[in-house]
Amino acid sequence: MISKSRVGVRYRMFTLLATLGLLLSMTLAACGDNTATPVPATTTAAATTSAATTAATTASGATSAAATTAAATGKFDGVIKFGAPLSLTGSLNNESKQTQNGYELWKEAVNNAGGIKIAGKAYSIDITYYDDESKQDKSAQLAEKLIKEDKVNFLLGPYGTNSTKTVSAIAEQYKIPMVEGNGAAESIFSQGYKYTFGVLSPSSNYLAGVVDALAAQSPKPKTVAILSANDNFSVEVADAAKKVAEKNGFQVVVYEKYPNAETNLTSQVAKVKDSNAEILLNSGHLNEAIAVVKAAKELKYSPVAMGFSVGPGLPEFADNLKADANYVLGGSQWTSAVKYKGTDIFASSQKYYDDYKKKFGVEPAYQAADGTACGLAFQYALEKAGTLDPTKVRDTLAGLDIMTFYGQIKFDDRGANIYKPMVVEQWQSGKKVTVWPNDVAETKMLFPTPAWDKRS
Amino acid sequence: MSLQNVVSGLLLGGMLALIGMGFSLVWGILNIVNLAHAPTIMFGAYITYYFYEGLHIDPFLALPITMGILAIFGFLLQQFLINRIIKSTLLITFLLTFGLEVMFVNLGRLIFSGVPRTVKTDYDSASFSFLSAEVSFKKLAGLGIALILTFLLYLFMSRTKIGNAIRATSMDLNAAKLMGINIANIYTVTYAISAALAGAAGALLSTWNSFTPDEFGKYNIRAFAVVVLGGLGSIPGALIGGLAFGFISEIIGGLTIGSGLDAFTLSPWKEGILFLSLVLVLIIRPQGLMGKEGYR
Repeated sequence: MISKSRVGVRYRMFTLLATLGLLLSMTLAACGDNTATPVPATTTAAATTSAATTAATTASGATSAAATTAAATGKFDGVIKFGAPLSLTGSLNNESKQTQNGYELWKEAVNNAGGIKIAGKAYSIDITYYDDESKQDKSAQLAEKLIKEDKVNFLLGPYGTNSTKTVSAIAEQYKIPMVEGNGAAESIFSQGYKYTFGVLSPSSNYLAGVVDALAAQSPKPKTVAILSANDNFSVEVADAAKKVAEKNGFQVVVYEKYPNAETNLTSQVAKVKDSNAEILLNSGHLNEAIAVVKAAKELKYSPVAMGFSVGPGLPEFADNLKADANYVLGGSQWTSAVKYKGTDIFASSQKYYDDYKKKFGVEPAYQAADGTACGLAFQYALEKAGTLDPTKVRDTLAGLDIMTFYGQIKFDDRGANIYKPMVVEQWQSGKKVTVWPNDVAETKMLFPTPAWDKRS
Repeated sequence: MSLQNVVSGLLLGGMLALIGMGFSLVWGILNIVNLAHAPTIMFGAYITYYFYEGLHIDPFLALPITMGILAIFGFLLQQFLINRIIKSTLLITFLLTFGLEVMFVNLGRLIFSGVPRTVKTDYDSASFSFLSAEVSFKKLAGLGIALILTFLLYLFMSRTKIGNAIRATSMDLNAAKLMGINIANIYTVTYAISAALAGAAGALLSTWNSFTPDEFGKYNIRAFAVVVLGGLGSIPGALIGGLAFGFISEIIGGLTIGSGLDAFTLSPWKEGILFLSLVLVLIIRPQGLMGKEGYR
């Protein structure tokens, strides 16, 4: 028998080691991902399952390529190859699927309309996808594979800020232009890179629309509280929101960060309640947005408006909150209600909505429109450049200025599209409607939000 | 810091105690660091969700059923899988539960999908005012259930024959064997209880906030912290550890020095500070707040 003290020592050693191991892995997990994969186990989990999926995707990619080439022999003079690493599995899988649908819808529409015309020749489009398992390092590896092995002509963006950032470095290294629609952080565009273009409004705009919309209400609220997850993207959004709020004459009374993916937010919301802030803004993710609304109701805190960077735009927001979702505001890149008059193949949001719903059976989220807009930017740039030469296409992209169903696509000298405004959506009686800017809005914003106990 | 933080800390602490208790039991008695604990909580949450959405059974009424289902799940898992390698080194058992966690989380993604879910009852956000704080009914009920389960478990361990056998096994394996205790059976019963407790925690958590299968991994780390804080294998220890963890967590979250925008807050470093205090406990009092040295 082992003596008691030896057991004690062994146990103590093990406990210490295990604690250190867990701490380390937690830190790694926290660094690795934007959207909460809190335990290393789950990350590894994604790796194991997705091997099969990758194989499947590659296989399906190959078949679609064959199909297009067959069609091309009759109709087209050549094929333009695009490639995109996407999060077909892992934590970003839900949103990433929308992006892929957006790319596919664009491909199909263009191929059906006779392809892209370059210097009198018609080219069909082919897109190869690989699964990055929602991991940024993998995205970069796959982008390199797409360029070196699959010899794609151009890159379409992966999903999410982190992956977009790593892939942008690869695009720069090989001088292959990438147009992306799902990485909004300013840090992507502040690297001085020349080959990355983002069609979506950058992070500084995410809550700016909500703040502007509230500044125009009467009686105008005076105080704002801002809560933010402490990941790069959310903090950028929150910082920008604070600046815009101060510019609009609001007094920011609470500006508080909480650990990324934390859903127990009562202490933070209690702090906001104590400050009596009239507006509560949150920059974070879907689960956190739901948690903030639930905590506000539980603590009987009734601000005149609640606005979120991410959350209200997704149908799951109202699925989880039911009637408590009403009156909540959210920034959105695009909604099917916006009334831009585009010169592209879709031309209007209504047509885009119809085409998308017909093909996929569900309503398009803005992530899908982001994806399609990337394709459109390439399409216009290629036709204007009249060549497939990557450098010349890049130069044309840099000078692009087009109006699409998605809004204006024009890049500043960093490659960010600061010209397209964000729209503001509000949940009204269980339906999500576009309420800002006024010229594209469906209906008026419901303001002020009634107190919790005065709601029917 | 306000009274609200104290109340929230207490409510959160009850939940963490419940999570920590099952984890502590398996670790203390089977000598397994059970990483499959978090996915068991996940199953509890999803079972409750489907009972509520599909059959419209209130989460609190479904609680005993959920616990029962997971007790059977735990029983089978231990009987046919974990018992086979229980005599191996810690590394092997650790690897097995790690593998189980990976498998269950992936299974969760496959069956339940990554769409966030909540059990949203009519009384979801109902709360009453206690001085300057708001107390949520469902969270208070959760704390009550955690306390009741702790008490029941304590009675079971100290008053019943099986409970005594379980304690004997944890104190001295060889002596227990000599007394004619079937160790494999003891392990199976212990694991089943632990799984039922995790199921109860999952059932209660499902009403708190929205969740996805990926959401639960953090509870392994928290359970680990609760157990180390409170002392391994000790039931009152898990309760004290859980309450302490919840309390510190909410106090740090609510701590503000100064006022307005220049105020100093610790909220973003909450996790870091929590685990730093854990390391301190390990250095100063390695057996935990309630643990006895050398007793496993």
